[in-house]
Amino acid sequence: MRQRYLLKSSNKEKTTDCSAAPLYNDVNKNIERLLNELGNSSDVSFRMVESPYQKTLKAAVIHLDGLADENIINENIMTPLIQWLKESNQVVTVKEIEEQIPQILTVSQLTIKKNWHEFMSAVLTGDTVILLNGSSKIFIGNTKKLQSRAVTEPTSQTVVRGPKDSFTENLRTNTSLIRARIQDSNLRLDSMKIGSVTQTDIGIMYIQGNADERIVEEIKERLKEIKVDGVLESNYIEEFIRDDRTTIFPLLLNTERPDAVVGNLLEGRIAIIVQGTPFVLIAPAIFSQFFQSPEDYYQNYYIASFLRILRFGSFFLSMYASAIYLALITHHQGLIPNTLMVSLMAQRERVPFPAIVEMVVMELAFEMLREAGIRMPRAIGPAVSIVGALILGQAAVEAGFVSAAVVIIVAISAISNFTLPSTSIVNAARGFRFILILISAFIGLYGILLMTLCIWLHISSLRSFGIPYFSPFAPFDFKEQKDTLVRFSLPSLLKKHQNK
Amino acid sequence: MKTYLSLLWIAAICLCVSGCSNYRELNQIGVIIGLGIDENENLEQPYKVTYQIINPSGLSQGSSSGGQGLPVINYTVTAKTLVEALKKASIVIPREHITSHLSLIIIGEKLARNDLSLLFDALDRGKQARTSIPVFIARDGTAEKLLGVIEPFEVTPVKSILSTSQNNQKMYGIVSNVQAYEVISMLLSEGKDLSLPGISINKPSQKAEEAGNLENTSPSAMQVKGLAMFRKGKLVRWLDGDEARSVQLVTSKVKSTPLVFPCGINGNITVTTTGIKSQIKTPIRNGQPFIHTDLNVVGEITETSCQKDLNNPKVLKELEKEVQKEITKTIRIAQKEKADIFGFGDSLSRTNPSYWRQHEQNWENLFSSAKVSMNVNVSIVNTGMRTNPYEVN
Amino acid sequence: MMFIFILGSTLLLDIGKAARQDAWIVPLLATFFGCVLYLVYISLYKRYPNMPLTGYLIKIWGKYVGGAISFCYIIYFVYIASRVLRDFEELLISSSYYVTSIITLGICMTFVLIYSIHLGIEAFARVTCLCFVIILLTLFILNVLYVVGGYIKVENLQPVLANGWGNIGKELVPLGITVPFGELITFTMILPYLNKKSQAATMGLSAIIIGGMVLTINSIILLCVLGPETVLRSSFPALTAVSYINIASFIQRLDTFILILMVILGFVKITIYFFCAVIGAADLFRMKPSVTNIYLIGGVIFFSSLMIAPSYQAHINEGLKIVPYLLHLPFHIAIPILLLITAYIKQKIKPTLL
Repeated sequence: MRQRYLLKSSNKEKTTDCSAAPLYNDVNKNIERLLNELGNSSDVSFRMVESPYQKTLKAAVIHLDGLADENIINENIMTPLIQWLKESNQVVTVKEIEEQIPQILTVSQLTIKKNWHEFMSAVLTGDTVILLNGSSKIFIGNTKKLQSRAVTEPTSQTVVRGPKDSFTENLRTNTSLIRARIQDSNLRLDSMKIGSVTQTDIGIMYIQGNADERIVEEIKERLKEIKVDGVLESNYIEEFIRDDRTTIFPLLLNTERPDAVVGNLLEGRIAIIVQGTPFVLIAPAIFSQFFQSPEDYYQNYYIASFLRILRFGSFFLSMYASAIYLALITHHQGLIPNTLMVSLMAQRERVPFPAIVEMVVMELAFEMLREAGIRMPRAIGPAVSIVGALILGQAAVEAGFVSAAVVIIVAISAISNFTLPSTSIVNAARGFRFILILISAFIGLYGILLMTLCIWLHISSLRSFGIPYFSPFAPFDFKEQKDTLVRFSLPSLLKKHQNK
Repeated sequence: MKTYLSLLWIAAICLCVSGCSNYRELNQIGVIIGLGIDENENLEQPYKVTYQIINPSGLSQGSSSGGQGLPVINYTVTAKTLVEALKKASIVIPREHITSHLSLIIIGEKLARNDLSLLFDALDRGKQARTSIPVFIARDGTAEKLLGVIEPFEVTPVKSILSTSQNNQKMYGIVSNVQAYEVISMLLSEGKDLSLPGISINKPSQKAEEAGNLENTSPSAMQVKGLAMFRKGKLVRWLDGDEARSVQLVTSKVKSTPLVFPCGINGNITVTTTGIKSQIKTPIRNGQPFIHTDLNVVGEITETSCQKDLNNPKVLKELEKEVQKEITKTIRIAQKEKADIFGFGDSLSRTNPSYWRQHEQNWENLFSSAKVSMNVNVSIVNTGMRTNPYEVN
Repeated sequence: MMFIFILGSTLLLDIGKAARQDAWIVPLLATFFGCVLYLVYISLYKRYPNMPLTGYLIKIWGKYVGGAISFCYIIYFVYIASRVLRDFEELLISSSYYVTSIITLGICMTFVLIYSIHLGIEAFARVTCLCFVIILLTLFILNVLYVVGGYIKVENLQPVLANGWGNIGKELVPLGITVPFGELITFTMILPYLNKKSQAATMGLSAIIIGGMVLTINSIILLCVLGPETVLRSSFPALTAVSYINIASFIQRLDTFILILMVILGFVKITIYFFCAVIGAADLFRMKPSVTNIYLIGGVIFFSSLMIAPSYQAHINEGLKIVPYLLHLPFHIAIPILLLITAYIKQKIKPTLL
């Protein structure tokens, strides 16, 4: 956010500069102007070539070191160009050269542009620009090459059985991974650039005929309205285009796995791929989707159904376990069975803090441990985990700071957090957990119930691109139930797609 | 608008935190698990109530802080009414006591002989305690003494009473647990009189109330002793042993019990029943009620000490006669006391409501003069692992 | 939505208990009458599919009479909403929240109500679908527990009809019909917002029948478990019955748990009344349901819930003796029937007017 405010002032100066100003005819002047605008950045490299026969026949090949592929420049631009210059011993006019250049250069894409803006953006995106002395046209050869990671295993959504490739930061790699899986002519890819400073490439993929045209249009409209300096991650896009800006629930699914994206595309959803992040957005998204993992379809459907129900159960548990425990021991002692009561009382005898303080401290401690775990260097990882377990668990109980039951409950709610395949919904659960704990300390189970009703009301009122968020449950669509809580066998699920 | 909203929220939350809320820590409450009611000589305060409260530090298995004391503590107060006693007990109980975990009620014998009709209203009306807890009578003693006995096996005296009586119900069956709501409905109705199990101390000793009892190989223990017969809410008589068991047989409350009957001169055959089903019928002939019981017993021979041939079906007949004798004896006792503890009146009210409406008030007399008839059917399923007993020469 | 509404407070308070062991026949018969009443509402709805009750009151009876009666209806809705709120507050207080003041409980519930009205009827309808499943599941589990625990004594139902039909009749009219089914009048306000208008009749009737069946079954089970005298004496028979459950000494003390679930029923009911009041006010006074409106009406409901009766006994007394005759009968039965007749007559006279 801070970056936006900082750059806003400088933005105004730029817009007056970068216009469709024409290029100079003189190569040197163009290069001088380019270097000025780029502030003499040290990675701008250019080479002047001359014809030995004609002094006025000069060309400059300009590219950004690092963004442009040196091999292509050497083989497909420099070599034929110098070769041609060596061989052309006749006097040719500028116009003839302009016609011949497309036949000389052997790059796979060659475009001819005329204005300064194109020149700048071509250089900045990694293309090579060939300037001719005396001509106001520029030739742009596609030599983009980004250093990017190889396709590896996904780090966040791993499966036991199933494909193990994941998206990378490069847009083209990602789209190629999807294209490799859907070899259908109806697969469309629309591109746009968002972000005035970063000029990030965004790709929108959908299957024509499957996806709802209105939603595609809506998404494109919303994307066009984004006026921001930079787009660093798909979350920037997500927060701009989603329906309800203020909710904690995720309204778009994000995934790192190509097979998940392809599955969603086949069901008629739209994928938004952002250059620079391996996380692809899928719109529209409804509540039950966040509990589906692609692995559900790669395993036996009994097991898959059981695991899905387990996930719903653990979502519920991660929100409510601590709150219900707290409500039971502070407001509704009558609900605890006799035998359990005796043991709980024995535990709480020695603890000096009120139950709510204990609970909140333990929850916060666990959250801190979790954050620390993410940022910890690998080397000291195991040591800190041992320390965490020992300190939080064993020693705290023995010293009498917390009771053993609280540690168990907090551990249960934390572990059930991790069973969910999508991190965005997990964050919603974490957020509500704290609110529920506080409310249960104030008015017990009644408060928990009222808060639950509020949460349900909130979820029911959400819409993701016009589709009710709570869709398969309410409004209750009986046919859709085949894939939400339990998964029926694949033949019965996929039949309708075969009929198309 | 948003500021108003937040102000309202703050107001609501303040209300909650200011002590007007239901928030109670576990170590601020004293959990009452047993209640004993005795008679007090002082007429101003006719009830002497004993509360048994869990002592958590006596229970804690924690090593470092160490536990102290016994698992329960008893506190006794005298008061005019039960609810007054509950509140008055705060003069001795160090924590805010709650009754939501109350598991049983013991009533002293003397108080039961006086009248316990409306004793249960506090329980019935109250919000915390449940009415599905069993009620016992303390025989030959006071409830206070009874609640003080600490036995091995079970952690608290309350638990040991409950376990003992449950065990008895399962294996011997002379009494069955009666829950408070059943007590109330029996007190309400004309057609069934109350009968409650009695508990006494087996081997009473000074040390029964101390931890010393736990270090004894034959400690003082709770004993289920007899069935108390009530008439209109007052204890009139105790039934023991086989007589008490016949009541359970008739009301179908016992499943497995040893039936012993003599065979030969000195011998006895023990039949352990595996299933007992009984049906009560009250036909009206000539305007007079008759009491009839159909009893179906299924059992197996588990022990014999006489040399009879057990494959002989005549053996069965004798057993049936024995059982019939027992039950008839018990019914006669009940008739003499004019206490219909079997529930014949209830059955009549269901089958013949018009007759019942007319003669409801007079049922005790009708009951005592009614003719008793019985039909007992015993079937022996097997004789265990052996057929005939070993012969002694 | 309708289903939960019908179940509403009846489930908790068990109407018809004066008829002792025949109390289960009351809901059975009431279902039938309820269907009839609902047909009246549906026929009114079919004539004016886009207007709520206040709308066509004005249309059929003219501006002044219709307007006055519409206004009465709005006040009536607010009053009933506050009554039901008071009902549930009393329930919570007398069973487990005995220290917390009634104000706190009321405030919390009122906030949730205001939020739900704010989000509109569609979101609310979706939540009730969920609640429907939960309530059904809970009832089912409870009944299974009763059966498994062996608490059901069928002989408590006998002798059948020993006290004759008189008692049943007394319970049936007016309370048996109006309390669960007459209150469907609120749906006349909501029906215009339905998406699938053709299914209104069938859905409604099936909801009534299922609701009636569930009430009957519930009544039977309560009687079997508790016995007629206890049912008569209890303020909340359902709660007492739940407190008996003690299976394997682990599943015990479920009363507070059940009570919390009952709060869902109360919430649904109050929200529907609240909605009707808001829709009615918007329609009558030509205002859009703005936020201030909602807060105002919410506040009124809350405060009146505190003030309508000084104690629980007075509240119940009012509810059983005064309200049915004075309010329920005319508003639920008399006026709609008159409306229908008037509309019918008008149609005969001037077919083009409608």
